[in-house]
Amino acid sequence: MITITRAAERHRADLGWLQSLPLYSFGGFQDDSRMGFGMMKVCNDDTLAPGTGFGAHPHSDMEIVSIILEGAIRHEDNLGNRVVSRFGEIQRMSAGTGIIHAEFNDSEEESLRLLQLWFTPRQRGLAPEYEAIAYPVDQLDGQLLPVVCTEPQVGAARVQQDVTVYLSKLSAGEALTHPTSPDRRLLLYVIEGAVGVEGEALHPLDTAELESLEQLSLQANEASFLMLIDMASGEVTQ
Amino acid sequence: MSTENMGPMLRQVLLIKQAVRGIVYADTRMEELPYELLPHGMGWCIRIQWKKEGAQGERLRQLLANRHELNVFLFDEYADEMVIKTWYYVNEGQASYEEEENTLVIYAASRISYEPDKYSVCDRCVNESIQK
Repeated sequence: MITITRAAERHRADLGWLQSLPLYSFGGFQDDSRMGFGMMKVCNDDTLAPGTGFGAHPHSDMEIVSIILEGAIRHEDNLGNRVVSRFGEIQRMSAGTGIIHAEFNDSEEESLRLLQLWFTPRQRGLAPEYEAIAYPVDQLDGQLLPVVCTEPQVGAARVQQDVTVYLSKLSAGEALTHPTSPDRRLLLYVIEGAVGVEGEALHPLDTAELESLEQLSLQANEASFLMLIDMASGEVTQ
Repeated sequence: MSTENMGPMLRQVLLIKQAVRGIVYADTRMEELPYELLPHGMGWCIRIQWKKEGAQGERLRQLLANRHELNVFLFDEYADEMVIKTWYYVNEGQASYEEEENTLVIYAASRISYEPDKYSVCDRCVNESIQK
């Protein structure tokens, strides 16, 4: 089963300092038919103007992944972390019993674009954690590179949930297959280019929710940059 | 967190929001909601006078339906726009309504106090911040 959301169908929030495309209900965008995809509750594509950001605020019992696409993000939290990350790096918070953090565009000149993903954790009440990792950008080409996963892995952030997030850059005409299982959910997100999947052509900011697949086959119709999320179907927590 | 150099507290605000979607269930800057904060075991209990009818009643039903995803705050406001925010962790969704008392009761397992000004702030973002 495939459910496509086209870029033109996505909600766009323009707050001046923030251009946000939430895929699921978030903030001022409330749609009861778009409450997440299984354990994924938030998928925001945010662009922050230079020098702007989100002031101190709490999170709890949520796995929060920030994938930086352009610019630099500055993270600050009550655990004492002060970290700046750029393209090729990922920030992950396991909010657990509570974390206070702020996130800002670290540049006074360049915009910051990031994908922010929230997943329910496998268990409530975990100890809060934060990490920033760098993945090997030169290994994005021609394969699905895991950048977030459940088990500890060099070059990938670890989340407390059965989720793997892949990034990939494909040349025009290049194809990939990804073995999965019918009891899992996949989300395909086209960042750049044009990708064919299940007989559909996806373009930048288009997304496909996929279920009940044994295997996913992709083809780049032009040079493309994509994110694929492979996650367990059930909400394991609560 | 020391408040001895901050003078008397001018106001305390109770704010309750849905954690993921940011929907506001209670904001005592916008409506009067008498409440009290009490120690409870290793944590705290917040008792809030809450009508079960009308708009408050509808918000009560939404709040209880989302009781596993609550962000509960107390903002202590001092002179010179100094604020100390305290966020309460409602770990197991322990929120319930006492019909006879017309009271919403929320139990928090832990809390974190913080001064927003100790983190980066953005004047351009504050007034129209997305619900985070």
